[in-house]
Amino acid sequence: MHEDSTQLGEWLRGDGPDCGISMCTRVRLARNVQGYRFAPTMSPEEAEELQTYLSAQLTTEPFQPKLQIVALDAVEPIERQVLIERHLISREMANAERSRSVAIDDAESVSIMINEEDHIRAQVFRSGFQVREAYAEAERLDELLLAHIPLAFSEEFGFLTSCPTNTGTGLRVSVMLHLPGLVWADEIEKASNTAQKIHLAVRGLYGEGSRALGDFYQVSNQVTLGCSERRILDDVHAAVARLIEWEREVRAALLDGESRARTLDKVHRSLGTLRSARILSSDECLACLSAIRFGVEQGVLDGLTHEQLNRVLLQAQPGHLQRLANTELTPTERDLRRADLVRGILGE
Amino acid sequence: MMPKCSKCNAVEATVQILDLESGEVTGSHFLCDSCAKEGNAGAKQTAIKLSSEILENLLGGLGGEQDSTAELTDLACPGCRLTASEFRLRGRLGCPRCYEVFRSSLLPLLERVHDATCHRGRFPGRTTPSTTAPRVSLVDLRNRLQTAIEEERYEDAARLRDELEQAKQERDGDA
Repeated sequence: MHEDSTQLGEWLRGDGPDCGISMCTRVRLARNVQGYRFAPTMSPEEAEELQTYLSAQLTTEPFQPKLQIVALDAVEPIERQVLIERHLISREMANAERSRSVAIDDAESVSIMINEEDHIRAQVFRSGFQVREAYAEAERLDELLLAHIPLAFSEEFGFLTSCPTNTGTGLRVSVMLHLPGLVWADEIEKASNTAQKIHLAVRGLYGEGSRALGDFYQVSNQVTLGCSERRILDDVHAAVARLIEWEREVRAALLDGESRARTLDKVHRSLGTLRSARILSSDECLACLSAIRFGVEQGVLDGLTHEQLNRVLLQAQPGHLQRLANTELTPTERDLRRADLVRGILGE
Repeated sequence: MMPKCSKCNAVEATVQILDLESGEVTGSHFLCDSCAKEGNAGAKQTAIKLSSEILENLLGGLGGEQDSTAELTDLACPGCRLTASEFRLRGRLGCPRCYEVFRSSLLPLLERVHDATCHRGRFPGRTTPSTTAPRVSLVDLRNRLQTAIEEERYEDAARLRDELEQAKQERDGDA
Protein backbone atom coordinates (compact mmCIF):
# COMPACT_ATOMS: atom_id res chain seq x y z
CA MET A 1 0.00 0.00 0.00
CA HIS A 2 1.35 3.38 -1.05
CA GLU A 3 4.66 1.94 -2.08
CA ASP A 4 4.44 4.76 -4.57
CA SER A 5 3.62 7.85 -2.56
CA THR A 6 3.79 9.90 -5.76
CA GLN A 7 0.54 8.34 -7.00
CA LEU A 8 -2.33 10.83 -6.90
CA GLY A 9 -5.33 9.53 -4.98
CA GLU A 10 -8.96 10.05 -5.93
CA TRP A 11 -9.12 13.43 -4.19
CA LEU A 12 -6.38 14.82 -6.42
CA ARG A 13 -7.35 13.08 -9.64
CA GLY A 14 -8.57 16.44 -10.88
CA ASP A 15 -11.02 15.26 -13.52
CA GLY A 16 -14.41 15.39 -11.77
CA PRO A 17 -17.21 17.87 -12.52
CA ASP A 18 -16.49 21.48 -11.48
CA CYS A 19 -13.07 20.37 -10.26
CA GLY A 20 -11.57 23.76 -11.13
CA ILE A 21 -13.11 25.08 -7.91
CA SER A 22 -14.40 21.96 -6.17
CA MET A 23 -11.40 19.65 -5.82
CA CYS A 24 -13.11 16.72 -4.20
CA THR A 25 -16.26 15.47 -2.50
CA ARG A 26 -16.06 13.27 0.59
CA VAL A 27 -18.89 11.39 2.27
CA ARG A 28 -18.30 9.85 5.68
CA LEU A 29 -20.51 7.48 7.68
CA ALA A 30 -19.93 6.89 11.40
CA ARG A 31 -20.96 3.43 12.62
CA ASN A 32 -20.40 1.39 15.77
CA VAL A 33 -20.58 -2.30 16.55
CA GLN A 34 -23.12 -3.63 19.05
CA GLY A 35 -21.76 -5.04 22.29
CA TYR A 36 -18.54 -3.02 22.44
CA ARG A 37 -17.70 0.19 24.23
CA PHE A 38 -17.03 3.15 21.94
CA ALA A 39 -13.41 3.35 20.81
CA PRO A 40 -12.14 6.09 23.18
CA THR A 41 -13.27 4.12 26.28
CA MET A 42 -12.22 0.65 25.14
CA SER A 43 -9.69 -1.46 26.99
CA PRO A 44 -6.60 -2.33 24.91
CA GLU A 45 -7.78 -5.97 24.65
CA GLU A 46 -11.25 -4.93 23.52
CA ALA A 47 -9.78 -2.58 20.87
CA GLU A 48 -7.46 -5.30 19.62
CA GLU A 49 -10.29 -7.84 19.44
CA LEU A 50 -12.59 -5.50 17.52
CA GLN A 51 -9.82 -4.36 15.21
CA THR A 52 -9.04 -7.97 14.30
CA TYR A 53 -12.72 -8.80 13.79
CA LEU A 54 -13.48 -5.76 11.61
CA SER A 55 -10.28 -6.10 9.57
CA ALA A 56 -11.26 -9.69 8.79
CA GLN A 57 -14.83 -8.72 7.86
CA LEU A 58 -13.78 -5.86 5.57
CA THR A 59 -11.43 -8.07 3.58
CA THR A 60 -14.06 -10.75 2.85
CA GLU A 61 -15.38 -11.33 -0.65
CA PRO A 62 -18.51 -9.11 -0.53
CA PHE A 63 -16.50 -5.98 0.12
CA GLN A 64 -15.69 -4.53 -3.28
CA PRO A 65 -13.60 -2.72 -4.35
CA LYS A 66 -11.05 -4.91 -2.66
CA LEU A 67 -9.72 -3.32 0.49
CA GLN A 68 -6.28 -3.63 1.97
CA ILE A 69 -5.68 -3.22 5.71
CA VAL A 70 -2.96 -0.97 7.12
CA ALA A 71 -2.47 -1.55 10.86
CA LEU A 72 -1.38 1.82 12.20
CA ASP A 73 0.66 0.38 15.06
CA ALA A 74 2.74 -1.56 12.59
CA VAL A 75 3.85 1.44 10.51
CA GLU A 76 6.33 4.26 11.12
CA PRO A 77 5.11 7.74 12.17
CA ILE A 78 6.09 9.07 8.71
CA GLU A 79 3.73 6.54 7.09
CA ARG A 80 0.91 7.71 9.33
CA GLN A 81 1.69 11.30 8.36
CA VAL A 82 1.51 10.29 4.68
CA LEU A 83 -1.91 8.71 5.28
CA ILE A 84 -3.15 11.94 6.94
CA GLU A 85 -1.86 14.03 4.05
CA ARG A 86 -3.71 11.75 1.62
CA HIS A 87 -6.90 12.24 3.71
CA LEU A 88 -7.12 8.49 4.34
CA ILE A 89 -6.96 8.75 8.14
CA SER A 90 -7.64 11.57 10.60
CA ARG A 91 -4.98 13.27 12.70
CA GLU A 92 -6.84 12.22 15.85
CA MET A 93 -6.64 8.60 14.75
CA ALA A 94 -2.95 8.80 13.85
CA ASN A 95 -2.16 10.05 17.35
CA ALA A 96 -4.44 7.66 19.28
CA GLU A 97 -2.79 4.87 21.23
CA ARG A 98 -5.39 2.12 20.91
CA SER A 99 -5.20 -0.67 18.35
CA ARG A 100 -6.49 0.80 15.06
CA SER A 101 -6.25 0.31 11.33
CA VAL A 102 -7.52 1.55 8.00
CA ALA A 103 -8.92 -0.34 5.02
CA ILE A 104 -8.13 1.32 1.68
CA ASP A 105 -8.81 0.44 -1.96
CA ASP A 106 -6.16 0.80 -4.67
CA ALA A 107 -7.63 3.98 -6.14
CA GLU A 108 -7.87 5.55 -2.67
CA SER A 109 -11.53 6.28 -3.33
CA VAL A 110 -12.62 4.38 -0.20
CA SER A 111 -11.05 4.43 3.24
CA ILE A 112 -12.66 2.71 6.21
CA MET A 113 -11.08 3.74 9.50
CA ILE A 114 -11.31 1.12 12.25
CA ASN A 115 -11.29 2.30 15.88
CA GLU A 116 -11.23 5.97 15.08
CA GLU A 117 -13.52 7.92 17.43
CA ASP A 118 -16.19 5.49 16.21
CA HIS A 119 -15.51 1.82 15.50
CA ILE A 120 -16.15 2.37 11.80
CA ARG A 121 -15.72 5.56 9.84
CA ALA A 122 -16.31 4.78 6.19
CA GLN A 123 -15.18 7.49 3.78
CA VAL A 124 -15.84 7.70 0.06
CA PHE A 125 -14.00 10.21 -2.15
CA ARG A 126 -15.03 11.46 -5.57
CA SER A 127 -13.06 13.87 -7.70
CA GLY A 128 -14.82 17.24 -8.18
CA PHE A 129 -18.33 18.14 -7.08
CA GLN A 130 -20.20 14.80 -6.85
CA VAL A 131 -22.25 14.82 -3.67
CA ARG A 132 -24.93 12.36 -4.77
CA GLU A 133 -22.52 10.00 -6.53
CA ALA A 134 -20.24 9.84 -3.49
CA TYR A 135 -23.21 9.17 -1.22
CA ALA A 136 -24.54 6.42 -3.50
CA GLU A 137 -21.22 4.60 -3.09
CA ALA A 138 -21.22 5.19 0.68
CA GLU A 139 -24.77 3.83 0.90
CA ARG A 140 -23.72 0.72 -1.00
CA LEU A 141 -20.86 0.20 1.47
CA ASP A 142 -23.26 0.82 4.36
CA GLU A 143 -25.56 -1.94 3.06
CA LEU A 144 -22.59 -4.31 3.11
CA LEU A 145 -21.65 -3.24 6.63
CA LEU A 146 -25.25 -3.73 7.80
CA ALA A 147 -25.44 -7.15 6.19
CA HIS A 148 -22.25 -8.45 7.77
CA ILE A 149 -21.67 -6.56 11.00
CA PRO A 150 -24.16 -6.01 13.88
CA LEU A 151 -24.30 -2.21 14.10
CA ALA A 152 -25.54 -0.15 17.05
CA PHE A 153 -28.81 1.50 16.07
CA SER A 154 -31.83 2.85 17.94
CA GLU A 155 -35.20 3.79 16.47
CA GLU A 156 -35.12 7.03 18.44
CA PHE A 157 -31.52 8.16 17.95
CA GLY A 158 -30.53 6.36 14.75
CA PHE A 159 -26.95 5.15 14.35
CA LEU A 160 -25.34 5.55 17.78
CA THR A 161 -22.00 7.33 17.84
CA SER A 162 -19.39 8.13 20.45
CA CYS A 163 -20.05 11.86 20.16
CA PRO A 164 -23.71 12.99 20.11
CA THR A 165 -22.84 15.51 17.39
CA ASN A 166 -22.65 12.62 14.88
CA THR A 167 -25.60 10.53 15.94
CA GLY A 168 -28.65 9.87 13.74
CA THR A 169 -27.50 9.46 10.18
CA GLY A 170 -23.81 9.53 11.16
CA LEU A 171 -23.40 11.27 7.82
CA ARG A 172 -20.90 14.01 7.07
CA VAL A 173 -20.76 15.35 3.51
CA SER A 174 -17.78 17.62 2.76
CA VAL A 175 -16.78 19.36 -0.39
CA MET A 176 -13.24 20.65 -0.66
CA LEU A 177 -13.24 24.01 -2.39
CA HIS A 178 -10.45 26.19 -3.74
CA LEU A 179 -11.63 29.76 -3.18
CA PRO A 180 -8.77 32.18 -3.94
CA GLY A 181 -11.17 34.65 -5.56
CA LEU A 182 -13.28 35.03 -2.44
CA VAL A 183 -10.14 35.30 -0.29
CA TRP A 184 -8.44 37.96 -2.45
CA ALA A 185 -11.65 39.96 -2.83
CA ASP A 186 -12.12 39.86 0.96
CA GLU A 187 -15.46 38.13 0.65
CA ILE A 188 -14.52 34.83 2.22
CA GLU A 189 -15.75 35.81 5.67
CA LYS A 190 -19.11 36.83 4.24
CA ALA A 191 -19.31 33.55 2.33
CA SER A 192 -18.31 31.59 5.41
CA ASN A 193 -20.93 33.35 7.57
CA THR A 194 -23.61 32.69 4.98
CA ALA A 195 -22.79 28.99 5.02
CA GLN A 196 -22.74 28.89 8.82
CA LYS A 197 -26.17 30.49 8.98
CA ILE A 198 -27.61 27.43 7.29
CA HIS A 199 -25.77 25.13 9.73
CA LEU A 200 -22.86 24.27 7.47
CA ALA A 201 -19.32 24.19 8.79
CA VAL A 202 -16.50 25.88 6.90
CA ARG A 203 -13.09 24.52 7.80
CA GLY A 204 -9.52 24.31 6.54
CA LEU A 205 -8.00 21.67 4.27
CA TYR A 206 -7.55 19.05 6.97
CA GLY A 207 -10.89 19.48 8.69
CA GLU A 208 -11.57 20.38 12.28
CA GLY A 209 -9.17 22.92 13.75
CA SER A 210 -7.04 23.17 10.62
CA ARG A 211 -6.15 26.42 8.86
CA ALA A 212 -7.40 27.30 5.40
CA LEU A 213 -3.98 26.84 3.79
CA GLY A 214 -3.64 27.59 0.09
CA ASP A 215 -7.18 29.04 0.05
CA PHE A 216 -8.66 25.55 0.38
CA TYR A 217 -11.85 25.22 2.39
CA GLN A 218 -14.03 22.29 3.38
CA VAL A 219 -17.75 22.89 3.54
CA SER A 220 -19.77 20.26 5.38
CA ASN A 221 -23.04 19.64 7.18
CA GLN A 222 -23.10 19.91 10.96
CA VAL A 223 -26.54 18.50 11.69
CA THR A 224 -26.78 14.72 11.47
CA LEU A 225 -29.97 14.08 13.47
CA GLY A 226 -33.60 14.89 12.70
CA CYS A 227 -33.36 15.01 8.92
CA SER A 228 -32.99 12.48 6.14
CA GLU A 229 -29.77 11.75 4.27
CA ARG A 230 -31.41 13.16 1.17
CA ARG A 231 -32.05 16.47 2.90
CA ILE A 232 -28.44 16.70 4.12
CA LEU A 233 -27.12 16.00 0.61
CA ASP A 234 -29.47 18.56 -0.94
CA ASP A 235 -28.52 21.25 1.59
CA VAL A 236 -24.78 20.79 1.08
CA HIS A 237 -25.24 20.54 -2.67
CA ALA A 238 -27.25 23.77 -2.86
CA ALA A 239 -24.84 25.71 -0.64
CA VAL A 240 -21.75 24.52 -2.49
CA ALA A 241 -23.31 25.24 -5.90
CA ARG A 242 -23.95 28.79 -4.71
CA LEU A 243 -20.37 29.16 -3.40
CA ILE A 244 -18.96 27.92 -6.72
CA GLU A 245 -21.08 30.45 -8.59
CA TRP A 246 -20.00 33.22 -6.21
CA GLU A 247 -16.31 32.27 -6.64
CA ARG A 248 -16.73 32.36 -10.44
CA GLU A 249 -18.26 35.84 -10.35
CA VAL A 250 -15.47 37.16 -8.12
CA ARG A 251 -12.77 35.56 -10.29
CA ALA A 252 -14.18 37.26 -13.37
CA ALA A 253 -14.19 40.61 -11.56
CA LEU A 254 -10.58 40.12 -10.43
CA LEU A 255 -9.53 39.78 -14.07
CA ASP A 256 -11.53 42.75 -15.22
CA GLY A 257 -10.75 46.48 -15.41
CA GLU A 258 -8.27 47.93 -12.93
CA SER A 259 -8.02 44.71 -10.91
CA ARG A 260 -6.67 42.72 -13.84
CA ALA A 261 -3.06 43.95 -13.77
CA ARG A 262 -2.76 43.37 -10.01
CA THR A 263 -4.21 39.86 -10.29
CA LEU A 264 -1.94 38.90 -13.18
CA ASP A 265 1.05 40.28 -11.30
CA LYS A 266 0.22 38.11 -8.32
CA VAL A 267 -0.16 34.99 -10.46
CA HIS A 268 3.10 35.47 -12.35
CA ARG A 269 5.11 36.50 -9.30
CA SER A 270 3.94 33.32 -7.58
CA LEU A 271 5.16 31.21 -10.48
CA GLY A 272 8.45 33.11 -10.38
CA THR A 273 8.83 32.31 -6.69
CA LEU A 274 8.11 28.61 -7.08
CA ARG A 275 10.45 28.30 -10.07
CA SER A 276 13.29 30.18 -8.38
CA ALA A 277 13.13 29.65 -4.62
CA ARG A 278 15.89 27.67 -2.92
CA ILE A 279 14.15 27.67 0.45
CA LEU A 280 10.39 27.22 0.49
CA SER A 281 8.18 26.99 3.56
CA SER A 282 4.95 25.04 3.42
CA ASP A 283 2.82 28.19 3.86
CA GLU A 284 4.61 30.10 1.10
CA CYS A 285 4.43 27.12 -1.21
CA LEU A 286 0.68 26.72 -0.72
CA ALA A 287 0.02 30.46 -1.13
CA CYS A 288 1.96 30.57 -4.43
CA LEU A 289 0.39 27.34 -5.60
CA SER A 290 -3.05 28.83 -5.00
CA ALA A 291 -2.28 31.81 -7.24
CA ILE A 292 -0.90 29.57 -9.97
CA ARG A 293 -3.91 27.26 -9.80
CA PHE A 294 -6.10 30.33 -10.19
CA GLY A 295 -4.07 31.41 -13.23
CA VAL A 296 -4.30 28.00 -14.90
CA GLU A 297 -8.03 27.72 -14.19
CA GLN A 298 -8.75 31.18 -15.58
CA GLY A 299 -6.63 30.60 -18.66
CA VAL A 300 -4.12 33.37 -17.94
CA LEU A 301 -1.15 31.06 -17.36
CA ASP A 302 0.03 28.70 -20.08
CA GLY A 303 2.28 25.68 -20.06
CA LEU A 304 1.24 24.10 -16.76
CA THR A 305 -1.13 21.19 -16.16
CA HIS A 306 -3.43 20.37 -13.27
CA GLU A 307 -1.52 17.18 -12.85
CA GLN A 308 1.70 19.12 -12.10
CA LEU A 309 -0.09 21.37 -9.61
CA ASN A 310 -1.72 18.44 -7.82
CA ARG A 311 1.59 16.62 -7.67
CA VAL A 312 3.19 19.62 -5.96
CA LEU A 313 0.23 20.00 -3.61
CA LEU A 314 0.57 16.38 -2.49
CA GLN A 315 4.31 15.83 -2.45
CA ALA A 316 5.41 19.14 -0.93
CA GLN A 317 3.73 18.14 2.33
CA PRO A 318 6.04 17.22 5.26
CA GLY A 319 5.14 13.51 5.41
CA HIS A 320 5.53 13.00 1.67
CA LEU A 321 8.85 14.90 1.58
CA GLN A 322 10.22 12.69 4.33
CA ARG A 323 8.86 9.57 2.71
CA LEU A 324 10.56 10.52 -0.53
CA ALA A 325 13.84 11.24 1.28
CA ASN A 326 13.37 7.99 3.19
CA THR A 327 14.40 9.68 6.42
CA GLU A 328 13.20 12.12 9.03
CA LEU A 329 13.90 15.75 8.12
CA THR A 330 14.05 18.90 10.24
CA PRO A 331 11.78 21.78 9.16
CA THR A 332 14.80 23.60 7.68
CA GLU A 333 15.83 20.53 5.69
CA ARG A 334 12.24 20.15 4.50
CA ASP A 335 12.16 23.75 3.22
CA LEU A 336 15.29 23.09 1.14
CA ARG A 337 13.94 19.82 -0.22
CA ARG A 338 10.54 21.36 -0.92
CA ALA A 339 12.13 24.08 -3.06
CA ASP A 340 14.07 21.45 -5.02
CA LEU A 341 11.00 19.26 -5.49
CA VAL A 342 8.82 22.14 -6.70
CA ARG A 343 11.44 23.35 -9.18
CA GLY A 344 11.76 19.78 -10.39
CA ILE A 345 8.04 19.47 -11.08
CA LEU A 346 7.27 22.97 -12.38
CA GLY A 347 10.56 23.52 -14.21
CA GLU A 348 13.00 26.37 -13.62
CA MET B 1 -55.92 60.69 59.43
CA MET B 2 -54.38 57.33 60.42
CA PRO B 3 -55.50 55.47 63.57
CA LYS B 4 -53.12 54.87 66.50
CA CYS B 5 -50.47 52.15 66.25
CA SER B 6 -52.20 48.85 67.00
CA LYS B 7 -49.06 47.52 68.72
CA CYS B 8 -47.87 50.27 71.11
CA ASN B 9 -51.13 52.19 71.00
CA ALA B 10 -49.06 55.32 71.85
CA VAL B 11 -48.48 57.22 68.59
CA GLU B 12 -50.23 57.65 65.28
CA ALA B 13 -49.67 54.79 62.84
CA THR B 14 -47.70 55.54 59.66
CA VAL B 15 -47.81 52.11 58.00
CA GLN B 16 -50.76 49.87 57.12
CA ILE B 17 -49.91 46.17 56.89
CA LEU B 18 -52.30 44.06 54.85
CA ASP B 19 -52.54 40.31 55.44
CA LEU B 20 -52.70 38.55 52.14
CA GLU B 21 -53.72 35.00 51.51
CA SER B 22 -53.86 33.74 47.97
CA GLY B 23 -54.09 37.28 46.74
CA GLU B 24 -57.07 38.09 49.01
CA VAL B 25 -56.83 40.70 51.77
CA THR B 26 -57.77 38.82 54.93
CA GLY B 27 -56.94 41.50 57.51
CA SER B 28 -55.02 44.70 58.24
CA HIS B 29 -52.83 46.24 60.98
CA PHE B 30 -51.74 49.81 61.55
CA LEU B 31 -48.22 50.35 62.91
CA CYS B 32 -46.04 53.31 63.82
CA ASP B 33 -42.56 53.68 62.34
CA SER B 34 -40.64 52.19 65.26
CA CYS B 35 -42.98 49.20 65.73
CA ALA B 36 -42.93 48.53 62.00
CA LYS B 37 -39.09 48.45 62.02
CA GLU B 38 -39.03 46.30 65.13
CA GLY B 39 -41.43 43.80 63.60
CA ASN B 40 -39.51 43.87 60.34
CA ALA B 41 -42.66 44.90 58.58
CA GLY B 42 -43.04 47.42 55.81
CA ALA B 43 -42.34 47.99 52.21
CA LYS B 44 -38.69 46.93 52.32
CA GLN B 45 -39.49 43.65 53.94
CA THR B 46 -42.22 43.00 51.42
CA ALA B 47 -39.86 43.72 48.59
CA ILE B 48 -37.26 41.35 49.96
CA LYS B 49 -39.88 38.72 50.59
CA LEU B 50 -41.15 39.05 47.04
CA SER B 51 -37.68 38.79 45.61
CA SER B 52 -36.91 35.65 47.50
CA GLU B 53 -40.23 34.20 46.43
CA ILE B 54 -39.37 34.92 42.81
CA LEU B 55 -35.93 33.47 43.36
CA GLU B 56 -37.42 30.40 44.95
CA ASN B 57 -39.69 29.99 41.99
CA LEU B 58 -36.78 30.38 39.62
CA LEU B 59 -34.58 28.08 41.61
CA GLY B 60 -37.44 25.63 41.92
CA GLY B 61 -36.84 24.67 38.34
CA LEU B 62 -33.09 24.76 38.68
CA GLY B 63 -33.26 23.02 42.02
CA GLY B 64 -35.14 20.18 40.42
CA GLU B 65 -32.53 19.99 37.73
CA GLN B 66 -29.76 20.07 40.31
CA ASP B 67 -31.43 17.28 42.22
CA SER B 68 -31.70 15.10 39.16
CA THR B 69 -28.14 16.07 38.23
CA ALA B 70 -27.02 15.00 41.69
CA GLU B 71 -28.77 11.70 41.17
CA LEU B 72 -27.16 11.33 37.79
CA THR B 73 -23.71 12.12 39.17
CA ASP B 74 -23.79 8.81 40.94
CA LEU B 75 -25.39 7.06 38.04
CA ALA B 76 -23.07 4.93 35.95
CA CYS B 77 -23.92 3.18 32.71
CA PRO B 78 -24.10 -0.58 33.35
CA GLY B 79 -22.63 -1.16 29.89
CA CYS B 80 -19.39 0.80 30.25
CA ARG B 81 -19.39 2.34 33.76
CA LEU B 82 -19.26 5.86 32.35
CA THR B 83 -20.73 8.25 34.93
CA ALA B 84 -23.04 11.16 34.17
CA SER B 85 -20.42 13.66 35.33
CA GLU B 86 -17.83 12.14 33.00
CA PHE B 87 -20.32 12.38 30.15
CA ARG B 88 -21.02 16.03 30.90
CA LEU B 89 -17.31 16.78 31.21
CA ARG B 90 -16.24 15.24 27.92
CA GLY B 91 -19.46 15.29 25.91
CA ARG B 92 -18.70 11.76 24.70
CA LEU B 93 -20.73 8.67 25.44
CA GLY B 94 -19.08 5.41 26.46
CA CYS B 95 -21.19 2.78 24.71
CA PRO B 96 -24.52 2.37 22.87
CA ARG B 97 -26.37 1.77 26.17
CA CYS B 98 -25.36 5.24 27.41
CA TYR B 99 -27.98 6.70 25.07
CA GLU B 100 -30.75 5.19 27.21
CA VAL B 101 -29.02 5.65 30.58
CA PHE B 102 -28.25 9.36 30.08
CA ARG B 103 -31.29 10.06 27.92
CA SER B 104 -32.54 12.97 30.06
CA SER B 105 -29.20 14.84 29.89
CA LEU B 106 -28.80 13.93 26.26
CA LEU B 107 -32.10 15.30 24.92
CA PRO B 108 -31.38 19.01 25.64
CA LEU B 109 -27.87 18.56 24.22
CA LEU B 110 -29.22 17.02 21.00
CA GLU B 111 -31.79 19.79 20.76
CA ARG B 112 -29.04 22.41 20.96
CA VAL B 113 -26.72 20.71 18.49
CA HIS B 114 -29.18 19.36 15.93
CA ASP B 115 -32.37 21.30 16.61
CA ALA B 116 -33.96 17.85 16.83
CA THR B 117 -33.97 14.87 19.16
CA CYS B 118 -35.14 12.02 16.98
CA HIS B 119 -33.70 10.14 13.99
CA ARG B 120 -35.41 10.63 10.64
CA GLY B 121 -32.85 9.12 8.33
CA ARG B 122 -32.43 5.59 7.07
CA PHE B 123 -33.42 2.53 9.07
CA PRO B 124 -31.43 -0.68 8.64
CA GLY B 125 -33.44 -3.24 6.73
CA ARG B 126 -35.80 -0.76 5.13
CA THR B 127 -35.08 -0.10 1.50
CA THR B 128 -36.51 3.40 1.20
CA PRO B 129 -36.34 4.66 4.77
CA SER B 130 -36.65 8.37 4.15
CA THR B 131 -40.04 8.07 2.54
CA THR B 132 -41.46 5.43 4.87
CA ALA B 133 -40.47 7.35 8.01
CA PRO B 134 -43.31 9.51 9.34
CA ARG B 135 -43.29 13.02 7.97
CA VAL B 136 -43.13 14.46 11.45
CA SER B 137 -42.11 12.36 14.39
CA LEU B 138 -44.43 12.68 17.38
CA VAL B 139 -41.69 11.42 19.70
CA ASP B 140 -39.36 14.10 18.43
CA LEU B 141 -41.91 16.86 18.85
CA ARG B 142 -42.82 15.69 22.38
CA ASN B 143 -39.15 15.58 23.36
CA ARG B 144 -38.53 19.03 21.97
CA LEU B 145 -41.63 20.48 23.60
CA GLN B 146 -40.55 19.05 26.96
CA THR B 147 -37.07 20.53 26.59
CA ALA B 148 -38.43 23.92 25.55
CA ILE B 149 -40.67 24.03 28.65
CA GLU B 150 -37.82 22.96 30.92
CA GLU B 151 -35.59 25.67 29.48
CA GLU B 152 -38.43 28.22 29.72
CA ARG B 153 -38.34 28.95 26.01
CA TYR B 154 -42.06 29.58 25.95
CA GLU B 155 -42.32 30.93 22.41
CA ASP B 156 -40.65 27.79 21.08
CA ALA B 157 -42.87 25.69 23.35
CA ALA B 158 -46.03 27.29 21.98
CA ARG B 159 -44.87 26.70 18.41
CA LEU B 160 -43.93 23.09 19.15
CA ARG B 161 -47.27 22.47 20.90
CA ASP B 162 -49.05 23.66 17.75
CA GLU B 163 -46.80 21.50 15.56
CA LEU B 164 -47.51 18.50 17.79
CA GLU B 165 -51.28 19.06 17.54
CA GLN B 166 -50.99 19.42 13.79
CA ALA B 167 -48.92 16.25 13.53
CA LYS B 168 -51.46 14.31 15.61
CA GLN B 169 -54.28 15.52 13.38
CA GLU B 170 -52.31 14.55 10.28
CA ARG B 171 -51.62 11.12 11.72
CA ASP B 172 -55.27 10.59 12.67
CA GLY B 173 -56.37 11.93 9.30
CA ASP B 174 -54.02 9.57 7.49
CA ALA B 175 -55.10 6.58 9.56
